[in-house]
Amino acid sequence: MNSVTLKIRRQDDPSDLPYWEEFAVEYSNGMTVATALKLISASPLAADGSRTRPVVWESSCLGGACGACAMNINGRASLACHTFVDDLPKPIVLEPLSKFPLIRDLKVDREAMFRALANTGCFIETDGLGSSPAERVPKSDHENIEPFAACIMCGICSEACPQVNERSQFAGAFLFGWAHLLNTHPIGQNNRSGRLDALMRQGGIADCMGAKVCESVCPKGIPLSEAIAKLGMATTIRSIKRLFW
Amino acid sequence: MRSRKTKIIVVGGGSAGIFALLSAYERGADVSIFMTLPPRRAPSVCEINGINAALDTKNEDDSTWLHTKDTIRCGDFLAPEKPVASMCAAAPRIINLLDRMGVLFDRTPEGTIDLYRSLGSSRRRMAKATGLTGRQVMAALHGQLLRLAALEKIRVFEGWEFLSLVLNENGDCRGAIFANTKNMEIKAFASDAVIVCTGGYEGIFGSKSTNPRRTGASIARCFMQGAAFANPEFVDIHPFTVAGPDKHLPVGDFFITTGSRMDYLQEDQHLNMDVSKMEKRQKSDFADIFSLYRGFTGEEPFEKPIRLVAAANRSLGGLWTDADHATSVAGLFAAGEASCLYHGAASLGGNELLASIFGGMRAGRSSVEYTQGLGAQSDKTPSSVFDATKTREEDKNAAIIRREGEENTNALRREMAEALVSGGVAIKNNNALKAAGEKLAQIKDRFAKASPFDRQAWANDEIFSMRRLEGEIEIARLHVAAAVARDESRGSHIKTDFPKRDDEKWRVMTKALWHEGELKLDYSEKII
Repeated sequence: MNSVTLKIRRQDDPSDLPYWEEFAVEYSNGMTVATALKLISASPLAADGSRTRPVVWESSCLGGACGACAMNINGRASLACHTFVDDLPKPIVLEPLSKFPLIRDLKVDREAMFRALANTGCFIETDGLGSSPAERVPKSDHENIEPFAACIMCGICSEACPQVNERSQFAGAFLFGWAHLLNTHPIGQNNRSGRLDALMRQGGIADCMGAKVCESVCPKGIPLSEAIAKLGMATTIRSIKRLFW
Repeated sequence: MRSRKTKIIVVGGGSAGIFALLSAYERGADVSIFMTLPPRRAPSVCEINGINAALDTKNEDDSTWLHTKDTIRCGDFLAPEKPVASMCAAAPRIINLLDRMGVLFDRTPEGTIDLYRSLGSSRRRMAKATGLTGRQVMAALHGQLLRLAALEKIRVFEGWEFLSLVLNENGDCRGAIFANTKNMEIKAFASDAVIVCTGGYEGIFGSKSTNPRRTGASIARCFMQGAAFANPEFVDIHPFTVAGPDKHLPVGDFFITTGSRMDYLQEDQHLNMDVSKMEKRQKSDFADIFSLYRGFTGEEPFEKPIRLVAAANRSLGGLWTDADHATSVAGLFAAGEASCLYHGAASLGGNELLASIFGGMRAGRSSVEYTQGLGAQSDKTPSSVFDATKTREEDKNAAIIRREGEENTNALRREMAEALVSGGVAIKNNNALKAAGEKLAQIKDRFAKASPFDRQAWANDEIFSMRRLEGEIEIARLHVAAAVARDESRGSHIKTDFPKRDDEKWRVMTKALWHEGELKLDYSEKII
């Protein structure tokens, strides 16, 4: 029986100190890090044989569509359900995302992402549940913004970004990808100027230093630097407009 | 004349829940919504299928009547016609609404919404948003929630788990008890009506399902508090799923409906599908599906055949409701996959999100109408009732955290899934089902001896998981008992010992009631 060793950085609650715990789980073909964590929940024995508590982590769809299981795997932020044990050097080191407040073990609180979306007006104001016809959208326009709709709000871009830290209010590239998407949507663009104004505040687009790590780690391959570039241009034009008009 | 706004509680932040919230809010209600996960992480995001609507833009003479007919036929005549017809009639409006909310439906060269043909449909009527329709719908709905929450028009309780309904002395629902999954605090919330939109129960089949998280624990709790359960024996089986280590991915049907040149061989109980010869245009049309496959399996779809097997895809039963989504408990409503009105014995591909959205909107409306004539009913329920229910739940949590015993929740859950699979996923027979039923009865007994590994009073997922298992076992037992009783084959319910559909005896809604562990099955409701 083959086994896989995992070293997991645990913490019982936010005020406690972190500690490492090692586990050995049974290997199976095609298993993911999510599979390993579920095996630990089923039988939480530390590698030294002592009984311990199951590792707390967040998961939902187990299929790469919801962003819940983002964590640091061997030092790189990834989705546990889409990271295959075969591809990883052992022991597999698991740590929680560091840019978000810790709840317990590998579970963090990503509410800050949704707060950032709300504060930037990243929603579409419709007339309500009544019905008016859908807009005609040229197929090419549609194809241009489609890649941004793939965002699962996992927070991996924020984790990787050097500008997201305790000293700044910078939220991360996901905000720009989403704002860009909504600014280009036929009804979303009604609130374009409001969003641009919000992005010109502290912690907004001006704080992006162009590291472009976000784009290289995004599990959905979203062209985030394109969104940032377009918003950079749009906010520049907007600030000039506001100056003179 | 009411002196205060109607208070509505919505449970569940998926497509049905948020539409129920929006619908009740627009009718002037004071709505609080409770969910364990943010909307963007709800199981609704996994919906790969698009959404059907008889927009009739393909010159194929589509109509809502034809959409209704396809739905009824696909459901093998187990869905009642009127609700289905209402849903199909509302579909075009719903597509337009979603488009305005930000769902990027694929466009034709002319710029109008493009339509595809799903498995089972006679016309092209499925609007699809590349990048997963479910994900985009939930992103749009999350936006709506953020907007209303920022304006303080609604109350959002994210990270709270439903534990129990609060029933007054008449057995009417006047609120619910929820637990904060972080600090484990248990609180009672009063309302004039509760809408349960917590999803279905296909996850009881464990990794042999497309959604192991959807186990129906919340509807099980309602069922155990007196709400009738409809058609529990029906679980939609997807014959073309890709097996993964943790669940199955339902992608195969897209490759079949493209009509492209594919070779497939049947070996044992699976299909090997070779998509490498698909036309280039189609490969690019379904690029997002292929990328999903790549991420899920770590394999290239064009390098070797795709292995497809059957898996439990979607539960078709749920809390029994009338056409207005009112359950058998006054003041309790259910919508989405937590309920059972539109799919019958098998769902038409593309109707799933449609039914959840339509049902959610309906339930939002009905719940407000229900409370209109009542006066401030929840205010009339003495606080002692709320306190007593809350204390009962606190005691249950305290008891479970202290429990000693040698059984292990996760092992029991896995064994429950194995028992169900042995009873038959796609193909069942009475002997296998009865054996499965016996195993489940043993699992229920063993659950009483299950104890947690984790006794911390902070962010303790295991305690909630254990409490959910209690309900899941009841649903599993119900599913098997109802499957044994229904001696016919209809839609997704296939029994080798009763291979024919028997309309004379079985064109009825299964209605189950639970009383102190005893299951009672009723078949008096004929389908019209």
